[in-house]
Amino acid sequence: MRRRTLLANLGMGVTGMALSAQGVPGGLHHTAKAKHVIWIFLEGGLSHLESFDPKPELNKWAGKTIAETPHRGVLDAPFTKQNVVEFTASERKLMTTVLPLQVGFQKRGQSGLEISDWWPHVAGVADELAVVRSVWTTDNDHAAQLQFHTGRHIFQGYYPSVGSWVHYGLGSLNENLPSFVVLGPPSPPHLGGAGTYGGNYLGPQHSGVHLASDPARPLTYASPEMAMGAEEQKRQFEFIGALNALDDVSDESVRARIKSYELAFRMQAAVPEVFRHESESEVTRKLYGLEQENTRAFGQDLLSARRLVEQGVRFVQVFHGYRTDGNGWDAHTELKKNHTRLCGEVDGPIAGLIRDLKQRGLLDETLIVIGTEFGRTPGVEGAREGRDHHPFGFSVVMAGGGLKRGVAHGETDALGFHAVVDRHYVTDIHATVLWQLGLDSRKLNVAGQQRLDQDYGAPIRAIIA
Amino acid sequence: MLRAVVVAGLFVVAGQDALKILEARCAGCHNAKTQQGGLDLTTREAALRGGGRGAAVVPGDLAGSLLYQLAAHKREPAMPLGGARLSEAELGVVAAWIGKGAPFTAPVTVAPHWAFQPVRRPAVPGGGHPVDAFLEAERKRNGLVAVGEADRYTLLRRVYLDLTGVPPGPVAVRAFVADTAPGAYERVVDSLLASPRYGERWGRHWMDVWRYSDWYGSGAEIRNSQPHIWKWRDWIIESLNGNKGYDRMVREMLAADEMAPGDEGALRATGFLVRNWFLFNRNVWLQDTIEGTTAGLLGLTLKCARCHDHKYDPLAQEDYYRFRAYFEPHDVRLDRVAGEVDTKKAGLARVYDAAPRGDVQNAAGTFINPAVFGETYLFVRGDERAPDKARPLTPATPPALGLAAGVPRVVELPVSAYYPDMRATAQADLVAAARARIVSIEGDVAAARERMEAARTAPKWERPAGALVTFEGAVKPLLEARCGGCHLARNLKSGFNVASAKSVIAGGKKHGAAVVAGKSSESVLVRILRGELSPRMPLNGPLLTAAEMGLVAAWIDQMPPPEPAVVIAEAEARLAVGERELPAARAGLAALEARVLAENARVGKAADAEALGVTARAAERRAGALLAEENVFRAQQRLAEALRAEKLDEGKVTAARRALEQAVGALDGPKEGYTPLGPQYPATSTGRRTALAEWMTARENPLTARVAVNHIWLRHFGAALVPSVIDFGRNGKRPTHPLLLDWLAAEFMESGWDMKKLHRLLVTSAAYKMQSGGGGDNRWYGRMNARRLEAEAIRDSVLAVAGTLDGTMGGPELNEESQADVPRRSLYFRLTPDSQLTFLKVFDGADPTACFARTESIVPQQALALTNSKLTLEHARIVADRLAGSRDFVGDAFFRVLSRPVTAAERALSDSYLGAGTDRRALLIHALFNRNEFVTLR
Repeated sequence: MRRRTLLANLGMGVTGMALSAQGVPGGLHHTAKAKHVIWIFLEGGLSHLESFDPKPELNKWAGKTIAETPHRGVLDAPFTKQNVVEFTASERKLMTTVLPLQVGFQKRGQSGLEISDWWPHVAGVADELAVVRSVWTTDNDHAAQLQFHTGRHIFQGYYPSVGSWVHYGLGSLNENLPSFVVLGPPSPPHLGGAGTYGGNYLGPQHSGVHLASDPARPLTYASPEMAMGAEEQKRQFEFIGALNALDDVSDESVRARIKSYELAFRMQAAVPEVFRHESESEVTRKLYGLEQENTRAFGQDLLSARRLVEQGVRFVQVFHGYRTDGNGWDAHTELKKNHTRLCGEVDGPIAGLIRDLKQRGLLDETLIVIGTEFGRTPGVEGAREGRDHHPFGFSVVMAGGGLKRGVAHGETDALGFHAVVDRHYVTDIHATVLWQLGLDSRKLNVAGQQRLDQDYGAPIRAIIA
Repeated sequence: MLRAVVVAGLFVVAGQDALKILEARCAGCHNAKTQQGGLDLTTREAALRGGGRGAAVVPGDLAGSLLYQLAAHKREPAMPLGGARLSEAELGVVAAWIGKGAPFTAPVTVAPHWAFQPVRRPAVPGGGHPVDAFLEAERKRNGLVAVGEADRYTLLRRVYLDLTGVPPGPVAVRAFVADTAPGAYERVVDSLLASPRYGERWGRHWMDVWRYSDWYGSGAEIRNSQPHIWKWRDWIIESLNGNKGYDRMVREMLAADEMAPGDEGALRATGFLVRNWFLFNRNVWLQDTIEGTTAGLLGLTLKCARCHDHKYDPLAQEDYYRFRAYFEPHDVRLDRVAGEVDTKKAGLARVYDAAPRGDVQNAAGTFINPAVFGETYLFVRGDERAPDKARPLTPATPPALGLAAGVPRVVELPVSAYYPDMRATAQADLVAAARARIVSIEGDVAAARERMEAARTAPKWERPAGALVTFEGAVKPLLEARCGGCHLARNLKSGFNVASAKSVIAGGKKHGAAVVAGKSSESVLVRILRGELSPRMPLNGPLLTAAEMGLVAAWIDQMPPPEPAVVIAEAEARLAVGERELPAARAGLAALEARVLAENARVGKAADAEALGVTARAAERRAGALLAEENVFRAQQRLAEALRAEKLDEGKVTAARRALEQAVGALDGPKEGYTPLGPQYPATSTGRRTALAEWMTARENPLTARVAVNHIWLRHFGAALVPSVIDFGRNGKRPTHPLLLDWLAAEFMESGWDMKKLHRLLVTSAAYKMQSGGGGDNRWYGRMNARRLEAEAIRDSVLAVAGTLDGTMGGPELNEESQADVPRRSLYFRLTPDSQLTFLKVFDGADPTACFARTESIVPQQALALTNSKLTLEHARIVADRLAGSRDFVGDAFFRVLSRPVTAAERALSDSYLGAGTDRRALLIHALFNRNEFVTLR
C-alpha cells in the first residue's frame, strides 16, 4: 500500500488533483437547497429558558422545590440518568428549587414565535427563524462544546467535526481562501479546542482554519515575520516555483508542493482582504453594530462571515463568549447580569446578519445555525440567581438555507427540564445542515472508520421547507 | 478492496462451493470458539440451531434463512460486517446450497489468523542480504525489476536524516564522496548509530508510538499525564543510545517499579503508564492505558471489546476486562528526587500498586486523584454504572493469542520504594531545605531592616528634570500602535493590556508587575523592550526607537515611589512576623532532625527506637507550638488588615477569622506520636504488571516483535509491511511480505531484541539504497519511497544547516511559546494536545493522543511557514553570512542546504535570480529552505 499522502487542498480546491477537494465522489446525494453555513456557537451555555423556550410555569412555582410542584415527575423521568455521562467523578446535583424567569417574553412577528425581551433585534426577524426546542446532549460539563460539534462525548475521544464533514462532502468554491473558516475565540483545549473544528480521521486538509478578524494578522505566517517587500517576495515565489519545477513532476507530491506555493501566495493576498471592512457602507456597518463598543468585535466577525460566504466559503464557524473571559454564557450566578451583557453583544449583529443576507439574496442559500453546548437548569444554583448546566433539553436556532420560517419545533416539559416531544440529539442538527447542503449523513463514510447511529443523526424534516 | 477481489476469485476456482464461501467469509467470526452473536457456522447442526436471533439456515427456505437475508443485504445488519459484500455469483451459490438442503459434506474449518500464531523463522529465499532476498522473491513473482542505487549524495542525506534527524554537513558529504574504499557506507552507518543524535531521532519515533504527552489540563490544574514526565523521554533517548533491548524497554515501561524498585533511572520508564493519568475518571484512565498498551505494543484493537465482544477478532468482552485487571491496582505518584524537596519543582512521576481506596482530596477539599478499585468487573455494555459484581475478574491475557501469561507473584519492595523519604538523599535534602529556610528568613529580616533605614533617611522625592510625560498623552498612543496587535482587549496575549496606565503597571501573567515606580531600568516593560528579558518585544515588529524608549522610561522615572511612612510600616510588619518565624523555623529543623533519627531507628528496628521516638515527639510538639504562635500572629495581622480596609471584604474577614481559629486550635499540637517523614505506600506489589510484561516479551508472544519490527520498517522505508500498524487482527491489512516480517521478527528476538543491529541490517540492504522518485504503487519495493520529512526533522534541519543547533540533551520540556526561538531539538519542546510549537503543528507534528504513523499532508500553510516564519528568514541570513567569503556562493549554498552540488539548471536560475544590484544571497538560501527537496526524504 502506498502511504497516505494528503495533497494540497486545505479547502483550497486544488483542481485536477487526485485527492482534490471536489467533494464526495459522484457528486451530491440530492439537490442542495443551501451552499453555505454560518455556524454561530455561544460558549458557556445559553439559557434556553430566557431566550427561545420561555416557561411561565417557572414564574408560577418560583421558590418552590420541583417536588412541591405538579411537575415533580420530571425528576424521575428516564432521561435524567439514562443519557448523562458524568464528567467528574461525583454526580452533578440537579438544581431543584425553581428560579423564575429572569426576563419577560412576548409573541413576535406574524408567526407569534415566543422570544425573550433580551433579544429585541432577533425578535424583529422572528419570522425568519426555525427554533428547535428539544435538543439534548450527554455531557453536563463544558466539553459538551466538543460533543456539539462532533456528536461524541469527550471521553470517547475526537471525531470529525460537522464543519469538516461539510468540507469533506462539498469541497471548495474558491481557490484563494480556506473553505472552512473559524472566527472568534475558539473553545479552549480542555473543552474540545481545535477538535470542535478538526477533521480528525478525514485528514487535516478538512479542518477549519482559524482566522483573526484583523487584517494585519489574520493567520499565523500570513506575512513575513521579518521585513521583506511585496515585490521582492513575489520574485522569490517565482524563483521557488521555478526551482521546484525542475523536479520530477510525474510525482504527485511534487505537483502538490508546487501547487501549494501558488495557493499560499494567493491566500496571502486574499485572506487579509476579507477583514478590510472599510469598503462596506455606513448602513451595513451600523447593521452589524460596528459603531458600538459592545457589539463591534462580534459584529466584525459576522460581517467577515458574510464576506467569506460571498466569496464561496462553505462553512464559517463563529465562536462567541470567551473573548473577554473564560466564562462566556456560563451564568452560574447572576444570570440576568451575564445574559443581558452577552445578549447585548450578539442580538444586534445576528439580526443584522440575517437582514443583510436577506437583502443580498443570500439567505436562501446560506444556513445560519445558532447553537450552544447545553441549556441552563430550571432550578436555581446557589443563592445568587444563577442557573447550572443543563444537558437534558435546550434550544438551537436556525435560519435561512431552505428551512421553514417562523416555526418552533419540539418541546421541553412545562418546566423546560427535559426535551419530551420530538427529541433531537445534537447530530440531528448536523444531519439537517448536511441535508440542506445536498448531503445525506448516512452516506458519509470513510473506509476503516465505523460510524454509529448517534454519529449520523437524522435530518429534522419538520423544519425543512 | 483488493483482498476481496482475490478472495472472490478463489471461489470460482474452488468450484463454487458454498462451504468455501462460509469458511472464507463467515466462519472467522462465526465458529465454535468465537461465536459472534452466539452463532457458529462450522457444522450443520450449529447452523440450523443458529444464534441469538434464531436459525441461520432453514433448509430449502431462503426467506427464512437469516444467513442469506443478511448476506444479501435484505435485512440488517448487512454481512459480512465491515467486509466486502458477497458477489451475485457467490450469493447464487449460497442460495442454491440452501435450496438443496444445506448439506455439510465436511465441517467448515477456520484457518488460524496469521498474526495470532507464534513467529517461526522462515528460510531465506536465496543468497545475499536477507532483506533483499525476500523482497526480490516478491518482485520476481510480480514481474518487477528494482531500480538502481541512489547517488552517494542522496544516499548520505537519506541515512543521516533517517538515523539522526539532521542532514550531513559539507565536510561529511565531501569525506563520504571521497571515501571509495569498501565499507565506506557501513562505516557511516556505524558512526551515526553511535551518535547521541540517533537516540533523539528514534526517541521521537517511539514517543509517537508510545503516546508521549507532557501534562495538560485547565490552567494550573493538572488533568492529564504528570509534571516531570520528560524524564521518561530522557529514559527513552538514553535507552536507545545505550542500545537497551526492546524487550527490556517494554518490561521497564510496564513494571520497572516491580522489577527494579530501587533503580530511579529505570523507574522513569513507567512514564509510559503515568502518561494515561486522568484526574476525573479512573475508568477513562484505565481505558487509555489499555489502548496505549494494546494498540502500540501489540497491534491489537482490544479497545473494541470494551462494550461488546470484538466484531472481527476472537476477543471476548471479558478478555478486555481481564486485561484491565493487570492495571487495576496501579496508581501514579510523585517521588522526591535528589536535590529538591518540592515535587512541584522537580520530581519523579512513576507508578506503583496501591491499596484499594476511594477518591483522594487534598486538605482544601479539592479532588486530586480518582479511586483505586479493589476488584475488576466487566461493565455490561461498557457502561461503568453497570459493573457485573457477581463475577470479580482475575488478570489474564486474551486466550486467542495462544501463549498465556504466568500467574502474578507478589513482589516484596525495599523500604526506599514504599517509603521513599527514608532514602538518605531525601533525608539530607529535607534537612538542607529546613536550613535554607532559616537562612532565607534571616535574609528577609535583614532586608526589611535595610528598607526601614533607607526610608528613614531618604531625601524628599522630586520629579526628575525634563518635560512631563503622561500616559494618556504620550505612552498610550505609542504602546497601542506598537503592542496593540497582541496586547489589547481583542487579543490580550499573556493577559497584558496596554489600554490603561493601571493595566500596564499591573503587567501580564508571565512577568507580573511591569513597572517599578521611579525605576525604569528595573521595570519589566523597559527591560523586555530593550531585550534584557526574553522574548524581546515587539515580537515580530521593528524595535522601539531610542526616542520612543526614552518616553516610556521617562514616564516610569517620573512616577513617585511609595511614601516613606508606608515603607516603614510594611517593614515593621515584616520584622514582627520574622520574630515569630525564626524560632518556629529553628525548632522545625530540630524536630525534623529528631524525626529522621527516630524513623531510621524504627525502620531499622534499633534498640533505642522508642526513646528516639519520644524525643522526636517532644521536639515536634515544641516546633508545632511555635509554628502555631506564628500562624496566630499572621492571622491576627490579616484580620486586622481586612478590618482596616476601606471596603470591607466579608469573605476576607471570614477567611482570616477562620485561619485564626485554626491556628489557635493547633497550639495544642498532635495528640500522640510524631509525623513520619513523608508518604508511605504498600510494602508489596501485586506482580501483575510483571507477569504481563514477561508475557509480552516472551519468544512465543505472537505480536510484540512483529509489531515492533513493522514500526521500525515503516520509518526506514516510508511504508509498513503491515499497513494497519495498530491492527494486526482480522480487520487489519495482511502483510505485503509475511515471510520477511516473520524472518525479521525472529531475527530481532534472537538477537536479544537489538534495535541498532536491526537498523543496521535494514539500512545496509540494497533495497534501502535504491533510487526514489516517480509515482504509482510501490508495494513490491521496486524503488525507495520518497516522503515528506517529519515536522521535527524539518525544523531541526534548518537549525543544523545554519550551524545554530544546540546539541544539549534532555531536561525539562521547553515552553513552546516563550522559548520558541531556543535552537534546541524539536523533541525537547512541550507537547500536549493543547500545546505544540506552531511550526511543528503546520507540518503534522506528533498528535500525542494517537500517532502510530505520521500524517504527511501538503497544504498551503506549510508554504507560508517556510516562506514567512522568522525561523527560516533568520536562519537564511545566518547561512548567507557564513558563506560571506565564498568564491562560489551558489554552489556552496546548495551544498550546505541540500548536501549536494548544484545542477546546471539550478545554477542558471540562481545566477539570474541573484542578478546584479539587490543583495539576494540570503533570499536564495531562504528559497532553498523552500525547495521541495529540503522537506523531503528522497
